[in-house]
Amino acid sequence: MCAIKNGFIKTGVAIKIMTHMGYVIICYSMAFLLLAFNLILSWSEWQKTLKRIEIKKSKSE
Amino acid sequence: MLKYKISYFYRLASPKVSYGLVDRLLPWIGSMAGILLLYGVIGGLFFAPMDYQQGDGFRMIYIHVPAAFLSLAIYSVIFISSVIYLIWHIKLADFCANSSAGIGATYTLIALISGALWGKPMWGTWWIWDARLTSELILLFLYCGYLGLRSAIRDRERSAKAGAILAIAGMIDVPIVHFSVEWWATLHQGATLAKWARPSIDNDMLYPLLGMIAGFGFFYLTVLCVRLRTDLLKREWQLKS
Repeated sequence: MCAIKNGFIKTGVAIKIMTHMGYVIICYSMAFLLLAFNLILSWSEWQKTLKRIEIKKSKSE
Repeated sequence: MLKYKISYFYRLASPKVSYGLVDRLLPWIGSMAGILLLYGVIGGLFFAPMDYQQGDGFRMIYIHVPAAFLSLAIYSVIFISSVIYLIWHIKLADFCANSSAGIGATYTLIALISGALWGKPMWGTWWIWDARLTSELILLFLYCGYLGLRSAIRDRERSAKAGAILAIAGMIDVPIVHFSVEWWATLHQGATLAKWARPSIDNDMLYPLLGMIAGFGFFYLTVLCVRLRTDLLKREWQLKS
């Protein structure tokens, strides 16, 4: 009986820890996805600007 | 000496000089951001000991605190740049404010979402209309309002002026966010890293946190450099946004 009870407690603790780690993983993934999105957006804008300048240069030539 | 320093700052305000500086600094700042973020994530997830009350859930501190700190710091940068723009009409200051708003809004959003994710297992709720949470949400609205206003006005000069006025008026929210946990009885805990006091967390937990704060700071500078470079080029070649 005691062993079963201990088993339940251990399983309960394990699930609780897993749940906490689950929140942590979601939190880190969300943060780095948003940051990466921001950097990619800025970088693509920079590349787009370079292309526009190339077009303008070639037109003026 | 002072004259030399002042003339150096005036030189920095010139688009050509600032473009060269930003271009040279970008790889260094980007590398620093990468190294510090890697150190913070590995230290925070694998080496920092588990909290005796919160267990592994406390590891969200390494995202939540740096994001919240940067959300306030970036708004302060926008405020200072706006004041400089309104007084001296330095265009670079306006570029700096405009380029900071997007990443500032992202950090604020990260702080709010990570706070909700942390709040659910610890407080038992995703959201509460607490002074700290509500004022941080208002900060997000201010960022969104600033971005919306800037993109709504076509004329660059008018857009810069309107944005600067909004940023200066919105600055009132920054001290409210910071001191809300002291001024009102809130569910949110007080500052973990007070300015003059000893930090209330152990060094093993503290160093990755400082690494993440610095990493988030350098990441902001990286994005700022990329956007500044784009804005300066657009201005130089008279391209429309």
